[in-house]
Amino acid sequence: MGKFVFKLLRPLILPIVILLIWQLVYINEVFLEALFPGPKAVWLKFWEMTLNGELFIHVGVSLRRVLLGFLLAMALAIPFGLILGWYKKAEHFCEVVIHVGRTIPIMAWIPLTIMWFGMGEISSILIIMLGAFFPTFFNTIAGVREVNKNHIDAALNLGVKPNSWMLFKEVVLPSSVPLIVTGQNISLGYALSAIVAAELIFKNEGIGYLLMDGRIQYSFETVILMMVILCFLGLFLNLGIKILENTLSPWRYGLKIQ
Amino acid sequence: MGAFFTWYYKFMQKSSQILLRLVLPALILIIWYVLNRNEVYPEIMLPAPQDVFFALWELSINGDIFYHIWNSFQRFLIGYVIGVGLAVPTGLAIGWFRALDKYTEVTITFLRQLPGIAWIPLALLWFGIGNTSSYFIVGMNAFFSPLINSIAGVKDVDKNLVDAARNLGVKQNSWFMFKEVIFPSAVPHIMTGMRIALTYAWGGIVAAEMLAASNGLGWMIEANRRFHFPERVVLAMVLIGLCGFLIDDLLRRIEKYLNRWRAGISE
Amino acid sequence: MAYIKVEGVEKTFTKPKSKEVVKALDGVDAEIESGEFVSIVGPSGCGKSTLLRVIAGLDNVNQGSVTIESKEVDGPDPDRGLLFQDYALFPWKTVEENIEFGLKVRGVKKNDRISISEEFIELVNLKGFEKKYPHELSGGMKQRCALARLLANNPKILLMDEPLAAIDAQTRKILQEEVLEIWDKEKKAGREKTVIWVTHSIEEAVFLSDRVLVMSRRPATIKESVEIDLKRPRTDETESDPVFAKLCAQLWSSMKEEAASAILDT
Repeated sequence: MGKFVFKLLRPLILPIVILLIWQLVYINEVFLEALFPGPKAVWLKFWEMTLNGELFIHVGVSLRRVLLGFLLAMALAIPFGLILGWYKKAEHFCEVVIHVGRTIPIMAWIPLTIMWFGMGEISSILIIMLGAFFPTFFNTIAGVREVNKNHIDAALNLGVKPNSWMLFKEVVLPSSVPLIVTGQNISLGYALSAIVAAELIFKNEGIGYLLMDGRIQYSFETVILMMVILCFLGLFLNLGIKILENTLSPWRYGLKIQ
Repeated sequence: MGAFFTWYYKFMQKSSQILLRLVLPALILIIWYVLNRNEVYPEIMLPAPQDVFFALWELSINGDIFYHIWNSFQRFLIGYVIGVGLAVPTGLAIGWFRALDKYTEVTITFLRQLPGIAWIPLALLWFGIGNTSSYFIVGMNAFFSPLINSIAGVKDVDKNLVDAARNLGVKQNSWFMFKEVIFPSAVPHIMTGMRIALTYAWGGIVAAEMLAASNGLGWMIEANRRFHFPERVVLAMVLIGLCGFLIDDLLRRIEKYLNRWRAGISE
Repeated sequence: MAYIKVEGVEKTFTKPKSKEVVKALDGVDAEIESGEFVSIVGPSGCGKSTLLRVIAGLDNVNQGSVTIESKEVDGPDPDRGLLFQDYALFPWKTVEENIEFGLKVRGVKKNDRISISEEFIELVNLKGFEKKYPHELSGGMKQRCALARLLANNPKILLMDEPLAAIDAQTRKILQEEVLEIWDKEKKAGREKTVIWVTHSIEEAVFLSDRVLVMSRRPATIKESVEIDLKRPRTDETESDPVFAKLCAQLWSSMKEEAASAILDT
């Protein structure tokens, strides 16, 4: 019994040690007070923001944008990816434009987006969509491309017509799910990155806004608090996707995941 | 005679493939030019395509563009090396010493959620605007991927290979085992991590320069937006994409060379 | 006194995913003389590999003991070379470097390593392939390389874990003869070896060995020991010998019911 409890609590040892060292350093004023607020200050800030509702508002805003942008990106990336994966000609057609779009980091798009759409809600969502689009898109194409040839041949042998809708629906599509899901995981990371970037620069509410605001006001507690919240948010969203994966495709462990 | 026709046929096939790829970009360029010509959008939003070329010409002549590229590249490289240089040994150590892994796994999973950009305000508070901020930000961006991949590389060594080595006289937890079996086996994973880190690091330097530097390609994008030079904004974007692509390509070649003992690596 | 003595060996392990506890070996007894070529046959999954790994010293026993010349086995040693079913060649090392590996472990100098490994590369007919990487080799060649890697350390005991299972039937026959040739050559060179060969092919076992042990299904024991009374050297003609067919039939009747019920083992 004791061993089990130890195993459960063990991962917490490192964070606790870090927090203790942090607090000790702060108390002994090895660094300037302003540079290194103690964890206690961050904790107090957390309560302050929770109690006056600020935290909920901004986290809610960010979360809303991320989900919206992410879902819209998926709605585009997956169908597009499936089509381009299936029809080689289509892929050749779009290839150049897509590569150009891919190699430009998300942040680099922001000034252009500002020029065209200003600094509002639409811009934010667009940036998120841009970030979340490419990983899932490419993974979907790869998923279609890398279907196990043996599975296709087995289906043809059982009477399915080549290049038919039936082949696509019954063999290709389910086969590509693991890669699509992997793409989604990466896309989520990019989406989170994108929303922080957008809010940092647009300063229109949300976690990124608070993050930047903390810097402007020299409030370390706010900055660090927001960073911690982002970590939790990331974990939470990843968990969400994992649950979604497991409900939609529990069979996928039979397929080799690249 | 027959040989000529085969060659001709293949040539037509190849060129039609190339042509197909060029249709869309050409179309976009034409539409862009026409939209600009007819002033469908104000110049502020949509610079003329030819203006972008002129800007490239102009900035090349006066050397500005090289100055910015060099600064960006330099900061990127230093930050990348620091990030990867810290991540790989740490990752190998954590993978090798099981105890370390058990203590750090959750913490690492937690910290890796943080987008690289989120480190910028902290960097600004600690280091202000300047090179150190960039090194820090790029380093943080380039840290987690090689770290996690190195850990996995060590943990996922084929058990049979370890047993074969033990059978041939190597002690289980020895330095010899690590040097001769574990590390070579982990190299592909490490390289993958380093390549992923490259993308994040390049994105990181752009972000860092937009907010925490006074020169470089990232700065160029943001500053020129504020100074109303949209053609330079587009130019900077294109250059950023190009450089990012070239760097990635270079690393891919290096990876291929180091992995020549592996059969059929799929991209 | 038997050279290798396996006494009352029991081995249990837990499946990593399902946490199921499986008893692989349940009181295995065997005695093997020095210089003998002994095969072990049994149904799939019965624990043949586990027994080999225990003798090799890679895994511990829960009960019982394995002694070699009256000394108990305590960990792996190049003196008991184990040939893995999937070769376990180091993919990032060339054929040469793989074969030299055991020597490198012992600190043999580079020049000496090269000359020693050259000798064994020739012995296993891999001359010309020294600088190739494992992925460039066929299955049969990989197996030869793995064998040379073991032989380079002059082990007294060779433990072969279904080495020819993944190889096509034609190459398999050729390699079987090759193995016997190599075993004989080593003996004549003063490097006599005791061989324990695990296989699921009865014909292979009869062809190669002095004695065949039949293993029961899981949890395993040694069911029977059959002397193979065929002349050496074993050739294509050996298979037409009526004694050959008789021995195969005898072994199969011993193994059949074990094999049939073992089909349902997961």
